[in-house]
Amino acid sequence: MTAKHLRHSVIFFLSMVALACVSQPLSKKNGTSPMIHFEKTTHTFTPVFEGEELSHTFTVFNRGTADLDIKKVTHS
Amino acid sequence: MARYDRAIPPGGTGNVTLKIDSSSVRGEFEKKAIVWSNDPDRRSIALYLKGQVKPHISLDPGGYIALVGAKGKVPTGHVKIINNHESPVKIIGVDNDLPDRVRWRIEEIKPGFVYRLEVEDISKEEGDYTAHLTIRTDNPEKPELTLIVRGEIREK
Repeated sequence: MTAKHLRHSVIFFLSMVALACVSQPLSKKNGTSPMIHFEKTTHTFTPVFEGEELSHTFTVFNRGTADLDIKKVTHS
Repeated sequence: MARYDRAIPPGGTGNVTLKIDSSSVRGEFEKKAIVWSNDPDRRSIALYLKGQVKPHISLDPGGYIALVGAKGKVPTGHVKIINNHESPVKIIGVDNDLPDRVRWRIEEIKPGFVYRLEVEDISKEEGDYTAHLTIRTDNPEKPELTLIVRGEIREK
């Protein structure tokens, strides 16, 4: 392997390391991380008549070591 | 619709409240919501709501009748009006927007709970039409139901 090839390989390796560091979440870099957990992810209502509003609250736990941010809740 | 706590400290708990307006849902349903967070190992989690929405009063087999045939020989059609509540309901009237084409008759099968509405073509001329029978009830949650009657009447 020539010196030129060796230099290119070292530059490539260092670039990959830098990229991995940047792409990791800040909390992981600090050694802390949020951990989302739901004990129940499904709720079944008793039958209702049309027009009644149905509402249910799920409890979400943060079992991690950094703040858990809920960014959004979407429907499908 | 969803309401949720936006930030939950380590070791803490929060709420995610999901609401469904059942007036836009019929029969059995399953709705899915996805919670997106900053958990690096689990960016999204699916939550499910399941259930069943019953109509207050239903038309069986449905809200549509077809009357098809030669003038004077058109078979009658009928639907059952079914009260799904435990307390009885009264049919207080039926409004007919094409009385020259359609005649109706109502019969109590199980008083307060099941009625039979028979619809007859009385056209004096051939042609197609769409009539609407508005069934009025004393149930404040469902004061009206509409039965659509489609006629296709041929000359003899």
